[in-house]
Amino acid sequence: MAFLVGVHFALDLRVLGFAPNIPVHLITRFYPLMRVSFVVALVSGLMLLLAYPAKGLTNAVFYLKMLLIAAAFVVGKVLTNKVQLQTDITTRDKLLALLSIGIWVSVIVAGRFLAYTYTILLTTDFY
Amino acid sequence: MEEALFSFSQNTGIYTIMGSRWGWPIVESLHFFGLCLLIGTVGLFDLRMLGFVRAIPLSAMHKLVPIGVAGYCLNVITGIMFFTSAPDQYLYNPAFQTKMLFMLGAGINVVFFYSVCFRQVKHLGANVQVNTQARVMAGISLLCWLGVISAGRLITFYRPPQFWCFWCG
Repeated sequence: MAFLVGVHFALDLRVLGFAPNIPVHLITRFYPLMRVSFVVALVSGLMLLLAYPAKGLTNAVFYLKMLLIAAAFVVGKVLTNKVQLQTDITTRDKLLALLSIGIWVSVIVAGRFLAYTYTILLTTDFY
Repeated sequence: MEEALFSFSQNTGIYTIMGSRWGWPIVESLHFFGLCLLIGTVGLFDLRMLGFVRAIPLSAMHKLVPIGVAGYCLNVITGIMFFTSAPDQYLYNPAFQTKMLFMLGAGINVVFFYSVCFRQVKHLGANVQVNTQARVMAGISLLCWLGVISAGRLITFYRPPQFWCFWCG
């Protein structure tokens, strides 16, 4: 999570204007690290889900988190395409970067709140 | 010492915040946000020093580090909120003690880096390989922060009194 969201934060912060000496398109060189971190998070998340499937799959916050991650990917792809064109960064890009930070923070919050908002623990609790 | 920490949290209202319905998860989320800021900036700076993505000038990469420091300060504040609300759960927790050891290591490394190495590397540009001393410090820094994260995640699984640290009284 730290490297996945961290690299994305670095991109967003650079688009927002911090550290202007960094060539924007070069931050995408850190993407392999981000992708590996995503795979690690995906695998560990699947293992966590397999341990307590009923607890996760009956929790609305879990589906919200998955939707937010999909949204974050979409925004990230749009930002990456723009950044690799190496043209000037417009206000629209800065708003997208801000939105991206907001979505990833929401993903983190949703992930943390998963543990506190479940209704059933085991499948046998259905009966 | 426990009583002093605990009364601090109660006198400042921290205990009421952490005991409310959503207080603890919200503070935890802030703690994670701070750690992402820290790793995304300081971690990437360490990776750049280790030699990855050499096209980015080192001095430019360092401009992001103050944001990492802000994330670290956020984590210190939220960490104090956790620690003072349940001091016995942390003081005798071997995972928490390991985390503090890693933070001490990272802190010593930071002090050494900025007093010894930084002058030589801060003006370096793109496509330059830094000297071995700086690279070793970058590697130690990265390992220490990843150790902090891992030990921090394990805190909840080594809670006293089941996992009383064996070197405690």
